[in-house]
Amino acid sequence: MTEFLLAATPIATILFLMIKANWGAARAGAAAWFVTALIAVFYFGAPTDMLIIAQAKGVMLALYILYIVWAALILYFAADEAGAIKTIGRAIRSLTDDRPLQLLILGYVFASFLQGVAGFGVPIAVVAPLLLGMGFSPVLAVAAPMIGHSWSVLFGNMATSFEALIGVTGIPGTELTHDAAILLGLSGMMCGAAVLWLDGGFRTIRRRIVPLVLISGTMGIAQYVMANYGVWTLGGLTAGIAGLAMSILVTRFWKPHPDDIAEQVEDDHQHMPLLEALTPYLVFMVLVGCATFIPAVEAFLGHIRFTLDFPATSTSLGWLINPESAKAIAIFGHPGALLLYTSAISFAFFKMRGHYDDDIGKRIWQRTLKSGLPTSIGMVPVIGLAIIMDHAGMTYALAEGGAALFSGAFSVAYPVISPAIGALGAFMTGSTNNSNVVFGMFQRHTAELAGISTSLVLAAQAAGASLGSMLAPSKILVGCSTVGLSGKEGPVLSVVLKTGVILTFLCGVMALGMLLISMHAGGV
Amino acid sequence: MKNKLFNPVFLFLASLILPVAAFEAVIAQNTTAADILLGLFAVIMALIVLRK
Repeated sequence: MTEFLLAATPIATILFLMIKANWGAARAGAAAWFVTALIAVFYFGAPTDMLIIAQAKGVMLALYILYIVWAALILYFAADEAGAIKTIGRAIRSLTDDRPLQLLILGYVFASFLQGVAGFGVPIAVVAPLLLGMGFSPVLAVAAPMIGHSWSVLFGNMATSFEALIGVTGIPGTELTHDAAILLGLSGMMCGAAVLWLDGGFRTIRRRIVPLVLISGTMGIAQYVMANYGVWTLGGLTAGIAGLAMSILVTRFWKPHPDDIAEQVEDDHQHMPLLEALTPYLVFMVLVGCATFIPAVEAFLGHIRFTLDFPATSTSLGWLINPESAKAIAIFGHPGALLLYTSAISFAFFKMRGHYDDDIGKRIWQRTLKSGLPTSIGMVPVIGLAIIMDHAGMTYALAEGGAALFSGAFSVAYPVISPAIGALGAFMTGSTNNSNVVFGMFQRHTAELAGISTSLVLAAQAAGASLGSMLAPSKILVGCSTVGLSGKEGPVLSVVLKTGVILTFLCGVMALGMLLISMHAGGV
Repeated sequence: MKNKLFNPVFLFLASLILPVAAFEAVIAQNTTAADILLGLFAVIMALIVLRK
């Protein structure tokens, strides 16, 4: 019990400082880093070498993420200064006058599509400023895509986190896709409902239940079909494209409620054709497509890689971390590099079309610095403390404490807590992939000991890890930096934390329901 | 001096460089250097906490 409470202290510290004391993520993360280091050394027996190795791994992961953050900021400001963002916002508004439906299409469907294409925080970095430009509040502008994209993380971005789960548990993907795709499809609908709920509560959901069911149903089915036909690497991307197509179809017949008609925003920019405004994002998709699907291009761009090899390390209590290499940064093939190429092409294009004033380069750089620096300072302590917790065995102690509640006669209810453990891993490590790596085997063993379906418990882990990515402080930092909320991340964390906890719990209830149905049908 | 210590660029770069330098010292089995660099990193964390 002491282990569990001490392991939970860093999380409690960061949550208290951000939500109650209203500290920014950087200050709260640095304070929680001290708490983590002290507990890791004095209770969990972590030597200083382990702290150093964990922190160096944290720096490598932070560099991986920050490459995307800085490049996404440059791209956004290059597009914004040209007036492209306002044009895209105007186009979505002209698609439908229904303000909550606009939020649903951008914050849920478009964010899911971007997760299918790129991931690593790109959906939030791209969608949050678009929503802000359309008149949504900064907190809502960040929270909506954070919640909206989370369900598609597992099968998005070439399903890397699903592949990690397969690799670490040794269970074939074909045995996991059925349960995982059903759980995530249902969770996706909940995510869409949550995005609508943010804008106006349950009344907003009730009024848009038809578009919500049609759009989320289409995305869920598309993902299920792709995952179960063995092409789970394209599950998130296909779901996003299907969702966008259905959204356009739905807006053709949908009439907005008079109370929810979007306000007309003052148009202070020169008009730009929509195709021209979309150029940066179309270029980005083409570049990602080339870098992903053309092996020669992928090999060429991925030729120069930066990584560090870390030795094995262990605590005095015997918790062992095996040798591993840091996530390699392909200098020219990294998503951040693709965003930089896109920025350069877009900048040249908009410059040729005469959309920029004088001193534009300086202005874009100043805005990028102003947004990017506070985010960057916070990234190292936040990621560092998560990796220290993992290496000292604190994250495992947390999960073990949670699982102990569901031992013996209560074991049948374990699927309820399984997604929460996955979400906890994603929250602490900032990555669905890492959560699956850290907790995959633990969940498999627990399911086997409890005598319940292993594939269902692992699907619940994967779904929880996917949903938990909305709580990752590093992603909140990314989103806040693009809407001028750097240093004021507390309100966003508060909103996504409440929503994330509810969605994860509902995911657990659905997993329990699936287990009971399969037991009733004699499937266990 | 105070401005330089709390400069965001300095804090950001120091928080990136010090852990990697400490790690290189660990690999080189220079325990003293590794501990000093980790201590300096802790000072940077303290400065981030104090920075408003």
